[in-house]
Amino acid sequence: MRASLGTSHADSLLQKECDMNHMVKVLHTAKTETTGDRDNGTSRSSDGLLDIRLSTPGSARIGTNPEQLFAAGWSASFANAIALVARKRKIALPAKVSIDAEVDLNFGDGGYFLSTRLNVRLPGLERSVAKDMVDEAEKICPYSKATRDNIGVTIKLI
Amino acid sequence: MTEKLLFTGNTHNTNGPAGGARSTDGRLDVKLPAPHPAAEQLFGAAWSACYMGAIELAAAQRKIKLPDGLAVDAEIDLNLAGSAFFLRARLNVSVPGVERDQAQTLIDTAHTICPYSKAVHGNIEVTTTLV
Repeated sequence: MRASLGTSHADSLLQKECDMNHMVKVLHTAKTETTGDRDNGTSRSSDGLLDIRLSTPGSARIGTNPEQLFAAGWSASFANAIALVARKRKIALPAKVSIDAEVDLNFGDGGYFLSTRLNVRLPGLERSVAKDMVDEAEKICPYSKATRDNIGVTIKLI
Repeated sequence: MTEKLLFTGNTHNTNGPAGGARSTDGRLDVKLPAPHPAAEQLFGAAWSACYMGAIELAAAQRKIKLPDGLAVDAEIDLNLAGSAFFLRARLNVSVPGVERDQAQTLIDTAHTICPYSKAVHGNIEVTTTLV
């Protein structure tokens, strides 16, 4: 009995190690080529689906900026994370999920830094259920993980 | 020194087949039909643009003149290990017309300036290559 417990423990450790070392799967790689800078540059993805001009906020040049791009990217990923949580919990996702994201570019003693707010709407779901889904999404969203403890993040269910 | 908010990027994102992201000023307006891998492209573009600004700042601090032609090719992987999603990034930087040692110093210093590099520092694997 003890031996079999030991084996199963080892198996589970081995499984974990496999997960860590061999079972990493690259789902996709996004490639972008950017020239110029945040004030006057352009950026294009290798598949051509993203093709944008960059400009200083408030300037006459038509273009977007890194903070808008990051807000859009994070939100898209966070929406996927919410959808994944809903699927796992067999909760029907509302048709009108929306996320308003705000990404601040700040300057302080330590130089430039970011802070973000994600305001999530899950209309039609009970508030406690929706809150739970948002909390779980924050744990699994790769952008939330990538920035954890490095920047201020406020995620609100509204 | 007190902190100063320089700028806030605002976007509104919606789901579904007609989903997308739109900035409040209307200057960014992209369709994001799932499962299109747009998030990683957007992050690659955001980081690269800001990172190039940081390289320019590092050059200005050292009074190094940067010729035109600075470029960053970013590759952002979305990975899955078990059931956990995570990111990995490669930034391939071209700094033409600057001596290699100097260029390397600039791209290393830029990571300590760029707020996107700082935001992911220690949390994801980042490889920066001078090409």
